[in-house]
Amino acid sequence: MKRSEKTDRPPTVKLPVTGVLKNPGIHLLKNGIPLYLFPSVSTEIVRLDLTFNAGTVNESLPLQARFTNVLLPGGTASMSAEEIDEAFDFHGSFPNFSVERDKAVVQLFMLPADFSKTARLLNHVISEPLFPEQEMKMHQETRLQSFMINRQKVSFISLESMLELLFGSGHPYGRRIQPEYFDQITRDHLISFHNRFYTNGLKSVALAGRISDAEITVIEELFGERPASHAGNSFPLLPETDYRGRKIFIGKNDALQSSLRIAGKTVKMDHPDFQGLKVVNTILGGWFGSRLMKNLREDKGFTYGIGSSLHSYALGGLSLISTETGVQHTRAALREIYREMNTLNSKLVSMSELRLVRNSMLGDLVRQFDGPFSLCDSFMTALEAGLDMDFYNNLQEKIRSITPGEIKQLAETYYNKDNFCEVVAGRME
Amino acid sequence: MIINTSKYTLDNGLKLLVHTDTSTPLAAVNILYNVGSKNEHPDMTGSAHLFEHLMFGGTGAVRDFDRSLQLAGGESNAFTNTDITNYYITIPVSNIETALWLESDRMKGPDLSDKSLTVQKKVVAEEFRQRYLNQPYGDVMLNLRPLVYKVHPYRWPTIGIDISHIEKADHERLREFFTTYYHPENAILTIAGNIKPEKALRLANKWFGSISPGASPAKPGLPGEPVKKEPERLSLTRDVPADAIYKAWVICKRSDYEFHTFDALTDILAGGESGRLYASLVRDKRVFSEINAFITGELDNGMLLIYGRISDKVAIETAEEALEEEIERLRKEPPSPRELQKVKNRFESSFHLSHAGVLHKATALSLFELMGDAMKINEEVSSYSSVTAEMITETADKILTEESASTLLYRKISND
Repeated sequence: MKRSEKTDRPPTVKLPVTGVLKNPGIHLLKNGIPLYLFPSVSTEIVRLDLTFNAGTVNESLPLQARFTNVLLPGGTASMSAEEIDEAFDFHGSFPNFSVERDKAVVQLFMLPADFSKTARLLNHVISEPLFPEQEMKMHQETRLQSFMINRQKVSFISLESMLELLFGSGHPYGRRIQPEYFDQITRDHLISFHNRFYTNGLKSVALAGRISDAEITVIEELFGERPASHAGNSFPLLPETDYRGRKIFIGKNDALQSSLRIAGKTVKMDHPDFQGLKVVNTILGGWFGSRLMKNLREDKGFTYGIGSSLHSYALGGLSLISTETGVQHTRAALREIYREMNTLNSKLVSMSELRLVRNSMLGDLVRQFDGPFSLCDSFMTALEAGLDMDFYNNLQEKIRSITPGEIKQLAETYYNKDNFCEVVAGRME
Repeated sequence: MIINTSKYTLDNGLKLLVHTDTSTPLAAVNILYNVGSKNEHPDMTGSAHLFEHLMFGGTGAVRDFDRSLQLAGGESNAFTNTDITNYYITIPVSNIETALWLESDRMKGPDLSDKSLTVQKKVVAEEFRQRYLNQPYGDVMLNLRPLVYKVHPYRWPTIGIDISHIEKADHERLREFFTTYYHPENAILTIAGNIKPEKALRLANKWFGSISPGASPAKPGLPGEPVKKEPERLSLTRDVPADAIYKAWVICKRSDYEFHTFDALTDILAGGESGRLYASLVRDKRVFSEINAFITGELDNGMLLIYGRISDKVAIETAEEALEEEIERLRKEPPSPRELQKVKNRFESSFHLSHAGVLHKATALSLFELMGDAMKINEEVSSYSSVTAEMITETADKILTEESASTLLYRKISND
């Protein structure tokens, strides 16, 4: 006999909580570089992260940071690029080389049994790269081709123009890549960048997943003797730009969709308003149930998706709204986006909407801290801004306590349409 | 690490899988419906995927699916492919009943109001434009599938043959689609998280137990795809930045014994940057700027696909010839022991990487149960490991023939 239970009303909902998030264990290497530890037995995999002060902001010419990073596994005196690739593959390990504006990260996923071998291999590769001409030439060609493909996409065109407008064409944050840059970059540029920002630029090490003392010993041996990153960065100052109220339209006659970007400078993660602003951004366009999604996708069918997001870089923060819409909806979509911004800073959010956003954001935080790798990612993001896990603890507190009045006030300060700029790539019909 | 699973079948035919994982406060609820674009009528392609969108449009009892889930801190999404439509929710385990309530409610039938249908048709049309039409090479699958498949409904991609099919979808046919495919007997429910199997079973019975098994009308059978006797070729000129080549062959079913051989074979060709195609054709000969090979992993006879973007100033014919030499080599020369060990090691670590977290485990378990037995997921690494060099050569030689190949060429518009 099946038990019969009442299902005529929805289950009672409990407020999602992550509990208080604790900072990771820190092991200081001999040279003072911190090793952050995120142990977990829920995975078979261990991940090693090496963070270098080698982002695009440090470039003296465009593509320098990216090419140095991508060509790290391009060959050493004792190993060819092919041998390096084969060795990583043979041990079932997955290296990942990435560059952002303010940092470069070298990451390696592997099974613990092969940790010592693969970590040694990685250290060899990133310490003694030769940047062979042959490998460089290949990457120049293939990267140029990918770039030319991207350049045909309206989303790429609009993002590039917007960053240029916001940060200025002379600054690494706003500089646009041009096809000729791919020819101008030379081996010497990579060698000097590597020496400055990799050999002398290791900021931190992190281990996440299936880790034990054995892995820590290997890290100490491999990375404990390196020079630590120089204190303080010499990032080029952001120029004042006159982007407010500017509108740029880039026509692309064969476009089926227009890419819309509306953006303005706001604040970084370390600003006292940032956590409240997270809530404001979420209400506007930061999640699936946001006002922009409800209006432009669910109600009008203008787009497959629309979002707003906050970006926090070392030199500044920005607030960005992005979508792609059918060209016939370009104008109407812009109108609706501005209407939603205006509503946000002129009307109080209802308690029922606030409750929904609150619970959803708290649920997202539970997801964000699920598993050692996402825990590590979140911590590293905070660390980048000079913060730690308390940032997320305070964020939870702010999500629980923020009032409609506070939200309106923040929206007035940060979502004033006159302080934003607009870029459209595609067609206006 | 063994992925443990408890299996049950409710009285109405709904299958339930429970995976207990005490390491996380997050739970996953996955519902797989055994229907994909292969089950569509050829005049109404794209409807399985359109239906997936409609399932988020609320029901008579729950007006706003998303809102109700979001209040409980849950997040939901879904995907449709040629074989299945899969819905999933992640939610703090303390609110898992909300997920079960919402999934059981929409299993009884979504609201197919004019408003919901009109808006979702427009959203899907935008998705079609954004993903398939508005970017270079976006329409490859629209052109390749009909070249590879002449009979089997894998000949159209999940998004559909044309936007017009989506635009003309009507209430009546969508309702019929629902009655045929959306009922307990055609679904697998998987719950993963910090929950005991007995409790999961009680909750599944509480929320899903009263749903009637459904009329369960006979599903139309699907035709097999005959082996090609003649190669297929199609050359298209498009506004793309580089010439590109796509070669495809029909392979075995997902549950067939040879499947892992095909998987290993494509890994030999393109697993990582030390794969043969990259090493030889990109790095060494520089005829391609990018090249890859993979199997679609579809349940019926799927595809093995090789695609490459050709380097500037290299003739398409030269590139194709170089690629054919590599295929020929695979058919004749067995991989070296180290080469084979390499792809096996990579498979093992990527298996563990891709099955991290409750959601990925729940989705994978559902799929394996659909193929016959969820517990078989724990045999994946050993099945792959048992592939031998001879099996690879033999299978490659049998299947990757010139006669049975489909080749699609994208030529860029010449600027001269």
